[in-house]
Amino acid sequence: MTHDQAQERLHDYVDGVLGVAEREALEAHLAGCAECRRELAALQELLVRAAGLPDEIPPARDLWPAIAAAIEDEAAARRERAAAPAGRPRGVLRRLFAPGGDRLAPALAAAAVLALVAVVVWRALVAPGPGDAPLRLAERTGPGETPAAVAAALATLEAECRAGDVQLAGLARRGGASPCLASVSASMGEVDQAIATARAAWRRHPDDPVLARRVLAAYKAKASLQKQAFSARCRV
Amino acid sequence: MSKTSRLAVTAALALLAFGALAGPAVAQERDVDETRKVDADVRVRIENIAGEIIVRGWDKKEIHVKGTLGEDVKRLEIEGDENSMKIDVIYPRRLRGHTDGAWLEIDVPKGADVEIGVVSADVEVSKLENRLEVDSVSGEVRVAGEYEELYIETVSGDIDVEGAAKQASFESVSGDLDLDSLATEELEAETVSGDLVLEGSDLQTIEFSSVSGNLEFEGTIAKSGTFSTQSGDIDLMFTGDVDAEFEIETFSGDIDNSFGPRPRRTSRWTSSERLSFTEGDGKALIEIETFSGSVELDKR
Repeated sequence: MTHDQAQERLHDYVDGVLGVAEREALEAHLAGCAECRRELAALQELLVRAAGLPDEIPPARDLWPAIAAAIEDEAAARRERAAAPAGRPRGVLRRLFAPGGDRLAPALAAAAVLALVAVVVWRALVAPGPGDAPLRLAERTGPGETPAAVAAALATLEAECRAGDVQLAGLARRGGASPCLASVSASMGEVDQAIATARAAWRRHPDDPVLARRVLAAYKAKASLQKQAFSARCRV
Repeated sequence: MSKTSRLAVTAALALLAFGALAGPAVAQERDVDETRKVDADVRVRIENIAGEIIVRGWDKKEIHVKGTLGEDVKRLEIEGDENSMKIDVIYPRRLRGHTDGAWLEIDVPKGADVEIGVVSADVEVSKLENRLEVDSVSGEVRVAGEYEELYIETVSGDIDVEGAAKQASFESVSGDLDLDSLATEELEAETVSGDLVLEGSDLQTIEFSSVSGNLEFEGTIAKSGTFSTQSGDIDLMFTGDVDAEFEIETFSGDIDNSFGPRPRRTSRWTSSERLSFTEGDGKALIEIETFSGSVELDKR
């Protein structure tokens, strides 16, 4: 195994998904390559640290009490104004900027923020209607662009495909090689190669959403292929 | 018993024994010719392993099955009623090696909803107007006509379609898809290594995804086109006026654009390229994404 090949397989080695032959070849390379051993140690330490991170990190301070207080102050000020004698001038600007006066400005600002948030949430939730522009590739093909969401989808697909591989191997042993199974197996090698290539590139550039989608697409192609192999007509 | 009698009895016993050891008489090909009365929109399900299935639409409210059953075919079953009919070629439980199969020509009402399941049998369908679904492993599939819905799935057999369909969906592992002059509102095609050729096609929407299959398209896309491959090449030749927004992205493939705008690198550390531009008012949306496949955009 060359140095570059070993570098590409370190992540899979840490994840425990390398085949027996590849694992042994990699371990043989590690025995003689200090650089790869250092990188492997760094990967393993990263995993240990990631596992120790909390599930949630609350914000540094809670903003709501101040907003709630500002809203209550404004409500109290309105009650006061409503009860005030007639003729008393009510300058808006005086109320806004008078020091120690009504805290209208912070309350208005809070209301504006809430309104903005409401608009953003509403726009995010409203799906395009039939007359609207079609959803973009990035919006339709993935579970969302967050690394956590992509990793979760990928973990599910990987597990399904691993189970499918085991089932397929059993099918081939029991039933022999039907022409359909032989054809599907030949294509399976091509899909596995596509997965390996896309994963290697994504590992080097984990922030690239195009690569994330390519890895997911390759796994979906594999799952679809396995489904073909398990169909009744493929056993004839 | 005399010597002659003993000889005769021995010979008779020998013949009987030989007959028993020889087994049953060798099966032969036989012809079939059956007709059933059905509704104009009957649901027809046809199953065969090997041989050939030819289905044609006609104006009669009848199903007519004519053909030949191969030596190792047990029987032909035609079961159902006017609403739903199943035509099933029955083989022995364990097929030993190659089978010649059955060759059937089946005429059905042109408004029938037809489903065909085959393994290595070739399939040819024409003059139907409703819904057609074909599920094949290695048989070739040839379809002509104008359909409401068209679904064809194959492993290694090639698919050849001519005509029109409101909705069309194709799935292939390594079989190639040749969709000549196909006019459709919605087209979906998915392959692993099979290529897709679309010539003279007027589409509303198209979605094509493949691992290493290539796409060659010539025609128009009115609403949206989504193309994604791992290493397959995408070659789009637009005819007529082009009114579309283009978004193309590739990790290591090349982008060759006859419309003018050049792609730009998206990262100094990778060969990723992105190209975004608009022709006309950008009414349609064309999105292309490949890992290493090349992208070529042309206009005629």
